Amino acid sequence: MTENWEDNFDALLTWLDPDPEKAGRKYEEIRHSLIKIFEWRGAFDAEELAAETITRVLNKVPEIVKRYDGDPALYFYGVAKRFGFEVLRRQQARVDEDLEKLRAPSIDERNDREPEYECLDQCLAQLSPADRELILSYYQQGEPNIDHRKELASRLRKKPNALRVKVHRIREKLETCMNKCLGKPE
Amino acid sequence: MKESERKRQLIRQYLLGELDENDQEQLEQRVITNPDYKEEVLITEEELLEEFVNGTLSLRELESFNKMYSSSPAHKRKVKIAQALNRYASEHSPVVQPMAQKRRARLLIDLFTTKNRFHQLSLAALIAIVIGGSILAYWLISHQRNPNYDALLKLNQFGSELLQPDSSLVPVALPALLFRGAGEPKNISITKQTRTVQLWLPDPSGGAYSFRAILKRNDGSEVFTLEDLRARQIDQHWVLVLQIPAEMLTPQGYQLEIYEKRADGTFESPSTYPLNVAAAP
Repeated sequence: MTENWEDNFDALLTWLDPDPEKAGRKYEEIRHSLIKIFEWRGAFDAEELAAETITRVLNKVPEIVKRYDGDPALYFYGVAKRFGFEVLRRQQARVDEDLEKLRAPSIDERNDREPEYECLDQCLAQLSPADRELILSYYQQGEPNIDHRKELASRLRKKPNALRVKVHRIREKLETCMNKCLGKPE
Repeated sequence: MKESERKRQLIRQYLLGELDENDQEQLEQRVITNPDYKEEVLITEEELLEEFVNGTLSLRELESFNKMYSSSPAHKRKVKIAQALNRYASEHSPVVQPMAQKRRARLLIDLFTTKNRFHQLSLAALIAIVIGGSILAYWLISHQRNPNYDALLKLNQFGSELLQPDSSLVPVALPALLFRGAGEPKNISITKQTRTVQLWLPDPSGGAYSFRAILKRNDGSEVFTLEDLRARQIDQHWVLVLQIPAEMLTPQGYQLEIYEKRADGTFESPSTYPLNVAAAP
């Protein structure tokens, strides 16, 4: 990394927040949000688009801090919109309709066990027993069962929405572990 | 509609690609500036994935979901993870006894430990009648039902396991549903080891519809009817997979009719697939 890049990065963090620790957290929040937005928009490589967005902002930080007045996160969003969404529109023009090639797969092709299931097994083992039990209990029924989840929340002395959030955070840990286990999606 | 319901509905529409550009941008600006709101969107996405896996999305939402979640690798992975979690939880869930069940259990225990002799004798007689009646009913029912049909239902119910290939399985690729069957009969060879015949029919609608399948012999008599079948997403494609116990098939010609169900509950004209089953040594 060039000295210029490092200076710009320091200036970026200071622009986000004068407290370095808070600035670091805000930077990560913005980066994560950009990745998610690109994913929800159907991007083939959301992380790369987010990184490119951040690089473009980084290159302009010296000018931005002088004239921009507002939430820095919205500036990032503006850049993502101008650059990233245009890339997305071009990506989405690639449509895969290869029905003719679909066939009943051969025995060799279908011999692999689902890797997601195997990674899930490994990642669940890394959770605390309480978290593991909670997430399996939450999803144990065949269909989302409101009564079952209300009972679960009541037993844990939580409000239903608090349980929902807790399960989501456990699931996020699981998915991070699974994404590492599975490697980058092709 | 409560405010929280409205908020969730808006997020669902965003995730399903049903908002206009302006509304999408407003939501995304909120996501990037408000971590709590971003978390709400992430949780709603998980719930949407769960509903997809459990087959409880409405037809309209399912169509939108298929468009959005079958394109990018990240989306496809989210679906696979949701499927894996659903399956794992069904197979490994801890025994959880809801509180209402615990209260009922307590009541039953109290009933059985009563010291009143009359109550004890009455209870014993009642239990004997119930057990005897159940045995009789089970015997009557089991002798009427076809065990193969039970196996057929289990193999093809929503969320059932896609059997993996081995010497007991015969996979058969058929033309896409779009092409309405047509063409020469498909030959299917069954050996003594064959336990299941697995028919693969590509579904170009992207899993948007449910289907009825009727298998008939060439003389017109019906072998079975299956309702509410749904395509599965396998790799990038949607495929209707029918798994038939081999014992239901004998060496002869068959016609497989697949009916697509419309939103109003009526059915389109069927796609008909001629099949020729033969016994191989």
